Amino acid sequence: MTWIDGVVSALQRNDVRRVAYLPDSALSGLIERVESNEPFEAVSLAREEHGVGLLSGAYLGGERGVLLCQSSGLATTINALSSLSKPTRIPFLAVVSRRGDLGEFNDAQVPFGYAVGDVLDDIGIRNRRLDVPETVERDVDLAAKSAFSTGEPYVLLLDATLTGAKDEF
Amino acid sequence: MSSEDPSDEAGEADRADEGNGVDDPIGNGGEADEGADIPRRADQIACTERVLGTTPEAAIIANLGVASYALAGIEDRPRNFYCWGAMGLATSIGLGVALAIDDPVTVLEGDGSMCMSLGALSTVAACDPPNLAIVVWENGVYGTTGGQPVATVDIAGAARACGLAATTAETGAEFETGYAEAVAHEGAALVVCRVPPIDPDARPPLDSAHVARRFRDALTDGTEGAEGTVRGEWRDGGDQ
Ligand SMILES: [Mg+2]
Repeated sequence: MTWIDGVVSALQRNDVRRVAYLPDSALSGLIERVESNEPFEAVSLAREEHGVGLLSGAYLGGERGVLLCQSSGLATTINALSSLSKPTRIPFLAVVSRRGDLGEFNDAQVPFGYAVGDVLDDIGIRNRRLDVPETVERDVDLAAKSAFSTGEPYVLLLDATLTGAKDEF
Repeated sequence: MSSEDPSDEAGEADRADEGNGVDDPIGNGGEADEGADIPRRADQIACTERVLGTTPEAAIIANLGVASYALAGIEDRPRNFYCWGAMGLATSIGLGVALAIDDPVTVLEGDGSMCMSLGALSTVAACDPPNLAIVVWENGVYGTTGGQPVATVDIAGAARACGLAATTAETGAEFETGYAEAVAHEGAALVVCRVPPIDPDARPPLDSAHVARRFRDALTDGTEGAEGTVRGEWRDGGDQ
C-alpha cells in the first residue's frame, strides 16, 4: 500500500467527504485521487486559511472534511485555527506536506516548514510527523477519529522523505 | 458613530421613524424631509431585520463585530453563527455551510473583512451554490476597531469579476429588492449594502462552542455527521 492509498483509505473509513486543497507537487498524486473519485467532493481554494473556514462551515452543516496543502500554506491558517477552530471546538483535520527539512533546496521554505510542529504545539494544535509509508493509514485514521471525537484540530505533517522531495540540487 | 457624518444622521433618523411606528421597516424614508432628491441611505439594523423577514429559515453566518452585534440585537436564534475571531473568514464559513445543506445560507460580511479575503469570492463563484447569498455591509470603516477608513473598493464589481452575480444597494428599498433577488438567484449571489456606521450595544453569546453546537444541531437536527457510526468503530478498535 502506497502512502496515498493509506491516506485515501483512512479518510474514507472516517466518512471524510469534503476536501479543500491548494496545489502542491508533493501531494499531487493524492489530490488527483480525491478530485476525481467518489465519495470525495474537492474544492480548490484561493488561500489555505479559507479552507479552515470552509471546512468548519461544512462541519456545521453535518459534513466531515480535510485540508490538503503545503506547510507554507498552513502558515496562513494560524489565526483561523486559533480563533475559529479552537474556541468553537469545531474539529479540523489537515494532511500537509512538510517542507524545510531533509531534502529542502529552497530557503524560503525552511523557517516555517522546519518549525511547523513547534508553532502548532505553541497554540495547542496537535500534530504528528509521518515519514514512512507503513504507518500512514493507521495514523491518518486515528488522527481523524481523535479530531472528530474530541472537537480538536489534528494536523498530519508528511515529510519529504515520505512524499518524495523535489530534486532541484 | 461620528455625528459629523450627515449620512449617519439619516440612518439614525430612519431608526427613530421605526420607533415611532412609521411604516418604514427598511429605513428608506417615506417622506424625504431633508434633501428631497437624495435617497436616504439604508440602515444596517433595519436591513438585517429584512434579511430575517425574507429568509426566516436561513442559516446566517455573521462577521465578527458590528454584523454580529446587529444580528444578535435583533434575535439570538439557533441558526445564527457569530464570529468572535476568524477575521476575513465569514464568507468561507458560509460557503462550507451552503455546500453541506440545502436550506438557504446568508453571510453578513463587513467591507473591511471582505477586502481581507476577496480571493474567497473566486472559490464561491467556482462552487456557485444556489442557496448562498452574501450581504456586504459597506460602511466605509473598520467599525469594530474604532472607525478607521477601509480602502474604497467596488466590491460588487470585484465579485462580478470573480464570476459572481452581484449588485449594490444604496437605500433600504434597493436592499430589499437586491437581497430577494440574490436569494432567488440560481447560483450564489452577493449584495453590497451601503450603510452609515453604527455602534450597537448588543453582543452575541461569548461561548463560541455553545453557539457552534447550537447552530449545528439546528441545521442537522442533531442527527447528522460525525459522531454516530464512526464512534462505534472507534470503540470496537477498528482494524488497526
Ligand atoms: Mg466595515
